[in-house]
Amino acid sequence: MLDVLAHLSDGILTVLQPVNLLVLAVGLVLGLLVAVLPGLTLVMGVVLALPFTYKLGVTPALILLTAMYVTGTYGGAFTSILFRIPGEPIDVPLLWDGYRMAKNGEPAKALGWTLFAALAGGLVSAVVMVVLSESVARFALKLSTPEYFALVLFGLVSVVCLGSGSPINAFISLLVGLLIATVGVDGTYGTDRFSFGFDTMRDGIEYLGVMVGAYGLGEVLSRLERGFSSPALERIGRIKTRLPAAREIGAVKGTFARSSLLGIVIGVVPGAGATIASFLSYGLEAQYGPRRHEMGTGIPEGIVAPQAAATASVGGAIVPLLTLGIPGSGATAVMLAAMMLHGVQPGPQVFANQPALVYAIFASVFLSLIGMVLIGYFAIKALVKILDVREAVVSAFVVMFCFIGALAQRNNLNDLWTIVAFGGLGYLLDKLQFPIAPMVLGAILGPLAESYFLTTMIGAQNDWTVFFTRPVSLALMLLSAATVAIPLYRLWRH
Amino acid sequence: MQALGRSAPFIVLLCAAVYLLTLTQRFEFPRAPGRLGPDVWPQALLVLLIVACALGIVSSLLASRGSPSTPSRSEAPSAPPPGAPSNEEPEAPSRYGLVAAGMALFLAYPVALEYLGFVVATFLLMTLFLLIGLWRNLIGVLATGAIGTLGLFYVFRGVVYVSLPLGVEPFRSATLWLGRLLGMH
Repeated sequence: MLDVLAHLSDGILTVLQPVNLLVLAVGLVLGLLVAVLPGLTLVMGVVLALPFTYKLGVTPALILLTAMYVTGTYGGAFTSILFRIPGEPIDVPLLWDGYRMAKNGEPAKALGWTLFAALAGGLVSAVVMVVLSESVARFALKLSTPEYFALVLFGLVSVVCLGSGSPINAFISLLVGLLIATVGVDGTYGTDRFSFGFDTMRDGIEYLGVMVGAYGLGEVLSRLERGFSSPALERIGRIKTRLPAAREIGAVKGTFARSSLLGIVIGVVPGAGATIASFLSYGLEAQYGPRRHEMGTGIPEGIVAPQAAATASVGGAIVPLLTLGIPGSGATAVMLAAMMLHGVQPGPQVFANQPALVYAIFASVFLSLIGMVLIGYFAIKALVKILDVREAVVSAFVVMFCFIGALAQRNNLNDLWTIVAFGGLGYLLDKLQFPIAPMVLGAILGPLAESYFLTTMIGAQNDWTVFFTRPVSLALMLLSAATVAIPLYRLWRH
Repeated sequence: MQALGRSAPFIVLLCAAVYLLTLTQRFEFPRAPGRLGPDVWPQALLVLLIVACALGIVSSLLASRGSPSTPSRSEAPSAPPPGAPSNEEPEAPSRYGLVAAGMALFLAYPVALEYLGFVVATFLLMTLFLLIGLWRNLIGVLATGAIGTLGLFYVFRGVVYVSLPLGVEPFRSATLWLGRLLGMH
């Protein structure tokens, strides 16, 4: 434990170096801006920041993305509560009690509850993240390819089954992503797969192009379809944030504990993220909480539950990313991409090989939470002014960041065709009610899944029962089966 | 007819999956008995895709018989409580012409970038995109396009050192001249 604290102190000192601190501050502001703007989702914002990290070192790059991720779960609360505009899907549950509390004449209190919930939920999950990661990494070192395949499989099926739409559509989206990852020359045999004679496709399809195209250009096309029709804003006035008193906090400690724990667990589950944590936490509080009958009338529990869970999911999602190399959410998928672009392969070995980097990431979570509170308390009103910028202008810059991001990676103009193609595909998928996240996760984890599967099968002389004869692998396979079976059963009953 | 419309994406994907499955038979690699080749993984995925598409077709046929409409994707995972205010804004109508124009711009940009270079191509993309985005203030559009282009050019070429395309002559010389003017060497 003392080792961990010593490493964490070193991490804090690393983040406090002038360049890193500047990057952290930029990340905090960018994360809040992204969260405030309804046209930009948190994941999309982190994706767009990726090209700026190419020329940074790996540590400042990850500090930037982590800071954006942390504050991105909070900034949209302001617009949800005051203007009834959820900047992020995460913030939709805040409309139900946060906006109502503001309408009841207590907007400052509603903002205070949000800030408290984000800070407290985030801090609890950050502590859990630090304590849990080393143990998970040590355990992960004992695992072999069957367990890793089972783990990746669990991550893939989770993203299918935890979504809100049709599980069949999500499954198809995932399979399309996995197939995208098979395009190009195969690494083991040198076999040309699905390249259709195009040299560009022989190199394979970079998942970065899939991610930037589908999330960035696809989303812009979806909003363009509506003619960039953002709702008009009301005046903010002299509203301030008023933090709750200790007595008031004591009254919601149960909600806070439940929501933070749920947020951490949802964050750890690969594929689920802050949005699911926020909705699920609100839903649980509305069904089982002591004041469930008053939910929706503007009570603190209705604010604390979604906000604490959303921010708590950040620390949870970083655990599988760093210890297993499996992203726990869309934003951590981008962090995985950033690490790989800088030649760092996350997984249990990274704790032994690059502890300074790992603890700098941990430290940046803590410092981001503190920075988030300071900016949230003193400067959020100034940041909300961004909403005065026309949506078409913001979208034009989003488009440019997408193109430059794709170009900057390899200086290859062909990569621009990839993002345009996936932008169109992302728009179509959205239109046809196929979720995009499973496709992106499939494209990222596809090569890993194939490699683990083939290595295991070759090692076991094609005996597929190997996945069911080892305890950890069996447990994960059963978990995956249950994750698939439950929504399918519900669908069949429906 | 409605059922066919709902099933159409699944039918298209099913056909594509069957076609790709036939392609996997033609993968060239040294086949050895009892050894898994590079065709196994894509084949497994394609078989699953075919099954999923078949399920999708069946479920959309059943949905057409049962209810008049499927739930929207934008629906929240959990419904708001009864006392909560509705966050449903009246949705603006779909304008597919704008999407087509936007997509055409995106497709034209890589070509323009190759010949016109970053500065001219980006200025054109930004101004045309703003016009397509229904901003009708021409001075505002041109000013935003120009300032945005120069800002991006300066940040990415001068600060982040991304090698942005220069285009062909005379755009190449013009881009280099502009770079020198902005203090980039």
